[in-house]
Amino acid sequence: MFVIQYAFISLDEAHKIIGFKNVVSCYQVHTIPGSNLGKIKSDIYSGLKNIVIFDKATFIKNNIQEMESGIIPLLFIVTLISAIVLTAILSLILSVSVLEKRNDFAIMKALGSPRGFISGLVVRLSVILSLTGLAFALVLFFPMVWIVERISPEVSAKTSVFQILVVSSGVMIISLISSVLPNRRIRKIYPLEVFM
Amino acid sequence: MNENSNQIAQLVNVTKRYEGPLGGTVALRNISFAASRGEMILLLGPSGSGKTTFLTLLAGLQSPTSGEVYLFGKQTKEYSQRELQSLRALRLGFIFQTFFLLDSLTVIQNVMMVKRFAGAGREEARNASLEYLKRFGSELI
Repeated sequence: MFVIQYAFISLDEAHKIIGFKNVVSCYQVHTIPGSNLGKIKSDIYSGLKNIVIFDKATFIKNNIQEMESGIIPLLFIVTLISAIVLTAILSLILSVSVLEKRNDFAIMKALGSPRGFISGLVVRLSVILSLTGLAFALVLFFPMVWIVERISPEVSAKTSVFQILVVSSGVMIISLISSVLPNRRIRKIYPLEVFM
Repeated sequence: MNENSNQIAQLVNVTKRYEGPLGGTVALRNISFAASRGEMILLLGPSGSGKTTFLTLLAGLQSPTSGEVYLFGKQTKEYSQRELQSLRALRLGFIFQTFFLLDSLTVIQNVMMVKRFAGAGREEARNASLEYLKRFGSELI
């Protein structure tokens, strides 16, 4: 965590982990507007050895680079795995539901249910389950952010409407994919099963 | 047989055989039958005599091993699955031996469901179903 610039840890916590007091990994220096940054830099270099100084733009650029090469791909993989697991769970729940209602679906087919009618029911159930989950997540998200920011002030969990829309769209796509397998099962239910 | 004739269903020399590990069973052997518009026919027979097989053949739910089944003037094998589904929803009525009402639906929803299969909108299906239930004094259930 100290090798890279970007670390989710407060200085107090770093002190606790390392066990040494007064050891810091970095200082943030605020300068008065209009100051000679080159002179400040050389003054610091002359006073402190083995350090590296970054101006604000370079520091931000390095952090973004670090996030793009380290954290974001990691988060992407975690998100992808979560999406796959969610799809599998939802698909399983719907498949079990189809098996439980197998006889009902066979009756519906015998009575002349159009092909898309039963599939539509499964898709609707999948979307309802996903929307309920999304609503719960949104309700819990903001108090969670509030708690996280109180526990770890250095972690900023800012969220835009665009991000919420992207996540919502992702959930909707998951709900549609999840209904594919149960719908394949429904196709294999024959109306004749009612009479057996 | 044609669409304009009075006959709505006809079986011509129909045999239905179910294959099985012990050589299979013949449920219907060389049956011929015709039902005309307005007729009421009672089919009686002991358990296992082939009544259900006969009715499922008439509804196009399965095909005969040999022979011909006509429904509304056309052989059932000439109908596509979609056409047969539509036929069951619009022109055939089923009352199952054990009713097979869907437990998860209310009484009116059970009635509405079949109307919806026939292409009625929600409101139209509800109104028609209420009308049917009223005839039996069951609209308040």
